[in-house]
Amino acid sequence: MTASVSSASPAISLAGVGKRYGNTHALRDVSLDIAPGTIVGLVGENGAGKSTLVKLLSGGEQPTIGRVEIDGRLVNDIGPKAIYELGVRVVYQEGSFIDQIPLYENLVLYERTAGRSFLFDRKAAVRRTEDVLRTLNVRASMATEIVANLSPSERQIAEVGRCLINAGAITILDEPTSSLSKQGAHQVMEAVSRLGQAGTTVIYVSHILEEVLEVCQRVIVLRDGQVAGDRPVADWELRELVNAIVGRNLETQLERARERAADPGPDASQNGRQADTVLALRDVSYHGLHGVSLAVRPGEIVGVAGIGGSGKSLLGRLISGREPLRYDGSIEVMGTEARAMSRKRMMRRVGYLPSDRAREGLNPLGTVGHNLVMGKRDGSAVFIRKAQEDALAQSCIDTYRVRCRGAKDPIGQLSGGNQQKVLLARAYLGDPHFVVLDEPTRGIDIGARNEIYEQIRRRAAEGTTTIVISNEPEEIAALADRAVVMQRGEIVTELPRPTREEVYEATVS
Amino acid sequence: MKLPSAESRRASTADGPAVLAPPGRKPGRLALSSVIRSPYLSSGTAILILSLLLIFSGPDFLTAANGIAIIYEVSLVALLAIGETMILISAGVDLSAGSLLGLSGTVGAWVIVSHHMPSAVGIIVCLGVGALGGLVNGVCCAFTSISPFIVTLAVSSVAVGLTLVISQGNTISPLPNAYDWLGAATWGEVPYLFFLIIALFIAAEFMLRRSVIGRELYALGGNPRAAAMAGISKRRLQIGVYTTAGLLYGIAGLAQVGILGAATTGAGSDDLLTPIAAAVIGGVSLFGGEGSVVGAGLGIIVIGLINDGLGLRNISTFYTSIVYGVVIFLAVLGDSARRSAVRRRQA
Repeated sequence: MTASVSSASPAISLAGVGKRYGNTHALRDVSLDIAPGTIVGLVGENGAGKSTLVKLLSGGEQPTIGRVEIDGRLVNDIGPKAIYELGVRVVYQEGSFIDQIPLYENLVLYERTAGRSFLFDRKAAVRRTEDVLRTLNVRASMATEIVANLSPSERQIAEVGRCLINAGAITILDEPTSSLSKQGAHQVMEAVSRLGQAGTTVIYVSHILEEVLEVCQRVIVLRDGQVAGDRPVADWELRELVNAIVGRNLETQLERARERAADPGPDASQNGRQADTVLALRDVSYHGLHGVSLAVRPGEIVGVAGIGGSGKSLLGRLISGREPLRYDGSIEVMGTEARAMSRKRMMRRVGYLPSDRAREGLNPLGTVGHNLVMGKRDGSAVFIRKAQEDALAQSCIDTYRVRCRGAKDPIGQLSGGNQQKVLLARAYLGDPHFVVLDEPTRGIDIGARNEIYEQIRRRAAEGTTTIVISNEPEEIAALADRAVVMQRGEIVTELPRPTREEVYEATVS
Repeated sequence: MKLPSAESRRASTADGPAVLAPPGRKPGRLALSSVIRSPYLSSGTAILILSLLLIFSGPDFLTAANGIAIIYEVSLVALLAIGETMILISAGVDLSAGSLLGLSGTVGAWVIVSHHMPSAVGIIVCLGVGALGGLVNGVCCAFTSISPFIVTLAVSSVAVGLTLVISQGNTISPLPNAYDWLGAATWGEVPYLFFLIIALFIAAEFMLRRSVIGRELYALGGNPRAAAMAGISKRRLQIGVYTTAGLLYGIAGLAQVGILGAATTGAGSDDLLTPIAAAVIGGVSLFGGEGSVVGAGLGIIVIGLINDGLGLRNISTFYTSIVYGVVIFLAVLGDSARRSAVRRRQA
């Protein structure tokens, strides 16, 4: 934010912008100028107004009051198509590629100028795609590969590339790295930096604050629809940023929670020595897992850390019966060899929270109640006892503080954090031997995240053995009594009461 | 909302702002919104319009005889539609309903007439053939990666062929009264079949709403991967639902033979898509996870009224399929408009 930048006319300018939905103020009196070629981080809890701001900038919504200008042009009412023409591109989390065709075709599909000639110039399209990939400093051979064969991080980088090939002047990235491993995230961030160097203005929306601090030049915090902080990145510290986002002192909360968790710690480990192990793996090999051994004691929270592709999700699925039980070695659940049990019984006796909420967790057409009890049979009952089910659903909603009007609400009406609480409640339903939670807080805001952490700790304190699988060292550190770190399908380290730094180091070293 | 539907589904499950619409329940709006929310809006409107048209265009519609005629007209398709609806809810589809109807009735009649078996055996064979056909569908869908569309198309084709081979292309008759009973016997003027169908509709609706299996079918149709992760066995459900549907086709086959008094080779051949059409008119989603048997029942009534009306008003049957096409299109158009209206209210 030097004099030279501020002298240029801003790429994006908001003056006194407000947006109201009914009685809810999604945004209030937001005034911002963003200079061209800047990478700006936009952070805040869900409901803080990030999505609304993105919608105003992409023309999806119109402001109730105030002026939104792009390149000095008032764009309050011009709509998404005209804003696209002005060079605004939004990259959504889920991506927008057609899986079965090569990347270059996907990229050129978005290019409107491709319509100039009737025939498709394959060579030119490949060449342009390769150029873009080189600009982003990734392998150019991706251009001709089928999108389905690309890794998640490569896909995400290609999404960024889409903005380049389109010569987008302003690019909005919505959670570009949340589903990626640390390594993948780094590649994407490097690509984003290059996008910035190429002169594109980037708005980087993310929950992962370390990344925001790393890649952005300026960070804007939204809270309750207002700007709660706006500084060049050099003037932010992680802790301050967190405080600005939540509007309260989070560290002390976390510390208090950890103390609470630490309190019964010695007890638990003593019990552990006496009691049998809940889960014991001896030299387990499976497609993608090699010689994994692990013993989990009752009431313990064991963290499984590792980057994407390290086999930790696979391990989670295997020990919860979500993979065929065709492994070498031995997996004992409460002293019984898993192979001797049916998968059905395993699935019923082990709670599981899948990492991909939308794809593997929810029935989008069902209600909150349906999603809560999905797959949970009451013994061999043939019919559903409605009253009992409603009472159960309501008690879950209360216990896990799911914000909804009732069990009959369609699940799609809930925010991501509340949907996640529903899945968490389901994992704990039916008195499981232990629960496997794969990325329990992916893509949700800090408030909901803390609530989920509290629930996990509470259940553990009540005796539920828990295995937490996570990409985020912070999460492992916040929850786990003990952590194992996986790399390439093997357990490489075990860390008692790990800190974030220890976990991070072990996953990448 | 200018978003396409895929986008809005994405937006609703993604981590958007927690906008919970305030209840805002004024008495007047409550009535309106429950009408808009009703999945029966489209089919109900169609029934209303068709009935009014027929009532005001002649005295012959509201007569007992015409009512009975409608019952005979739709009873077979109604049986098929119950099975088809359960399959559609599980995100499957069954193209073999009509041909299994034909095959089961024919094989049952054949063992009686050509092999001199007692009627009871014929009835068991008839129902068994239907269930077996469904089992083949279910097993092939469950244990291969071939889509239900192809599996049931193949089974349908085989069933049509078997019907011709077994009957040698001939109509099989006469048949003993016991074998004809289901389709032929009446209580007064009303066929017993009608009561059986009503009972089956109620049983199927109850099964879908209140049984664990019913709940699992909806979950499977709504998101197969999530259902699998929640410990719901797709294979068990698929085999069960296709076999149950097959049994219903067998019942329809038996009823069809009874209505005609003979097993004909062309039986069920017009019913390739009618059960699916009825279900869709009644608000059952072709993508699974949504709809009900009662809805399909309303769809059946719509189809019955169209057939009946064209007959009463002396309009050539040549026009039937044109009218079908238009009504199906309008009903589904209305239903999808309703769904997006509901979604808008939610968002």
